Amino acid sequence: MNLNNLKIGQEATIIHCNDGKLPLKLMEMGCVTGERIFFIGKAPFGTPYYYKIGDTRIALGIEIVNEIEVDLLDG
Amino acid sequence: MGKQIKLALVGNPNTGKTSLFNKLTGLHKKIGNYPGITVSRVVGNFLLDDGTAIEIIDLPGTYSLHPSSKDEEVVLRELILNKEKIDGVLVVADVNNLKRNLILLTELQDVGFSVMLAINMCDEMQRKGIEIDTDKLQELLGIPVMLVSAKHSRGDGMHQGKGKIHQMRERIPEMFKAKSRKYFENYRLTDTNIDFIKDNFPKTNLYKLFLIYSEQDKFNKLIAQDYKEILELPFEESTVKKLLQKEVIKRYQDINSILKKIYKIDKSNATGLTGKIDKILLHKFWGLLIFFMIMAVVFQSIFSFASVPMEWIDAFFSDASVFLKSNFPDNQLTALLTDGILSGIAGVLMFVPQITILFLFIALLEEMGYMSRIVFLMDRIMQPFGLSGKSVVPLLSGTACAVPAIMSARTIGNAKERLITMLVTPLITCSARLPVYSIIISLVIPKTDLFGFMNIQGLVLLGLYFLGFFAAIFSAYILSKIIKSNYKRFFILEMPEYKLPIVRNVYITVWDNLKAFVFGAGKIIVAFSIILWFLATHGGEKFVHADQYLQQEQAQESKPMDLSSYKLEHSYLGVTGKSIEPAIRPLGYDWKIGIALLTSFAAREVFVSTLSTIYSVGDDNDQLLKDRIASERNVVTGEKTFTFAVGISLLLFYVFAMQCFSTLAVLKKETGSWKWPTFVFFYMTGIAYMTAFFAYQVLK
Repeated sequence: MNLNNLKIGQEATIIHCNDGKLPLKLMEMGCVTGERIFFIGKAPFGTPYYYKIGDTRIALGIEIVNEIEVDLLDG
Repeated sequence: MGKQIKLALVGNPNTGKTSLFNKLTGLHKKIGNYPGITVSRVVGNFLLDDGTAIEIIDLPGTYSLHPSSKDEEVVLRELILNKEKIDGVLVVADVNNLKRNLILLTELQDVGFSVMLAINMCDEMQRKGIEIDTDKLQELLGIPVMLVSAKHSRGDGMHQGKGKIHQMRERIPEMFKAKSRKYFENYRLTDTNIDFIKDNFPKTNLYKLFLIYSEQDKFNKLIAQDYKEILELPFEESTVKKLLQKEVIKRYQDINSILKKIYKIDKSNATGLTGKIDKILLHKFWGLLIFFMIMAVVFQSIFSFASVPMEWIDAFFSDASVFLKSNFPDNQLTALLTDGILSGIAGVLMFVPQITILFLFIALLEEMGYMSRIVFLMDRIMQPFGLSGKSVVPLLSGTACAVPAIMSARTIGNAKERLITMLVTPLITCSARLPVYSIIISLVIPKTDLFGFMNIQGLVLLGLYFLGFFAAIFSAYILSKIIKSNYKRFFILEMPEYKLPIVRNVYITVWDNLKAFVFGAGKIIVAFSIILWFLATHGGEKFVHADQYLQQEQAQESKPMDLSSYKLEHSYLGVTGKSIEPAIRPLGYDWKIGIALLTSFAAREVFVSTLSTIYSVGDDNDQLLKDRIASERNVVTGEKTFTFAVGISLLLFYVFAMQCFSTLAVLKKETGSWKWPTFVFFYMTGIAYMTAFFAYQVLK
């Protein structure tokens, strides 16, 4: 599923984020295939979104969120 | 003389890199600017016990050698071209984000630098349940590794004796003996261009060549000669990007396998404090409320608390001036000293309280990790105008004074957003415009109430504030379309863990910024004020023998006028004010207003005191001045000078015009050239002229 469909409080595994459109910096900050991603919340005016990827707390704009594919973890 | 070693300090943002730099070097550092860009360059030095002199450059924080901003380009260029002849690199990592931090480390090892790793914030390990086997890590990386804590007074960590900054300094020579590991050459990225590079430059470090190839647009002509063959290779962006992505994935694999052997985390001890604080501070309602309250406190402090020390400074300098005047002979030199130089210096120091208070808050918020939260909260609002969420701070501070506000834009990481913020901040209504507004409003706006409760004068004042604000936002939008950037805007922002501020870092930040202002922009401000003083106190024949001419003219016309007013009229400045009359006539101004416009370059509020001098009203008495101005009539037409049309025209002019050389000076200091201050001057004054022109022509 698309990262955009993750609900607040859900955790998932990143399965695809090396699309040519996204900046390399994203991967350098830990957003690589196989890492766990946890959706912490949205900013008061809608965007950006706030996640925890591995040990890194990171806020991402919607233009990035839409490009990341994840696999929802159960429970 | 001992040996000399040149080091670079490199690390991810939010690793406490600057704290560590301050710890290592004390206050022995120099801050400059990289030529042409708004990235500051900080160099410090210290001595080892054996007398070896270490010079260390604090490079901008970066996540990797593949840059995604102007700041990060600096790191790539410094390290790859190595014009400064850097001998080794000290890498700072944060214990909380070790995996990600090691990416940069492995890249630096691949470039072939002698490297040492300092894992910072080791004081947090126990609380977070983290264990690191440093000996094993040293072995796996092939470089010296240390646990440090920049937070504690002697750099002690929980591992007794191991975290000391002094020990870290003394271990620096170890990095040159170490056998640093390499990674990239084992990645076997299959690509014909890499093969070509490998064959043609067998003696040069492969990863360095790969960086030059993949980031060639960041070097421009700097490498045209030495690496001609590489630049001539076909370059397809998508292919290169795939290679870079493969590289990152491989590095993560290597790092994961290293960390598996040396890193343990027991999450049962972790408190998750940051998560809990974020729940409140980023809350839809409470988060915004707290944010606006914090901003209100900041605003209140620079607006009102700063006024007390500002009055002291003012009083001190006017006392000093009086003292000098009464104890020195009444000549040109004394006048230059008191009215020129001394008042110039007073004009510089006048800003010190505001800058100190503003940067005190900014440093505290930055240290605690709140600045990133401001960006997170405000980005959605500011981003359509090409501004950063952090632009809120300068724009708000601008209502007090543009000078500290422009300096506070330093915290904005993105070079384009920072530049735009600095360029539009002067449009925000600052406190120096208030005295001008209040006297003109009281002259031309009736003091009646609208609907029985809203004072029209107050409404007009509010309107002027909004006008300035919208002009700033609108200009930002236009500028964001015009100013080019190589980097497409992707919003990626690390949200650091909350932590208590390190007092030392706070005062160093405040001190560095004060120094930069006083010795950077200050020089220009003093120079300007001496020039302005000279022009207002020197003049031609009629100025020099003003008393005789005044007597003659008064005998003929029986026009009441005092000497100081007559002298100002015939000074160089007065003559200039008169000569620009044709230009300002269409706005409804006469030469007297022209002179006041010129003098208000020193500070906008000087407009009022100049009018007092011209109209010969002593002591800046507002009521008296008001009556005098109100009764002023045009000599030729006999009509009132300050009509409604003129008043509105003047108000609009003051909303938009760039009439403050301190602001120009600080813009010059912050952007590194006169290009942008010149642009701002013509841009703002241009809008001012046009709006004032239309207002007057329509209303008259």
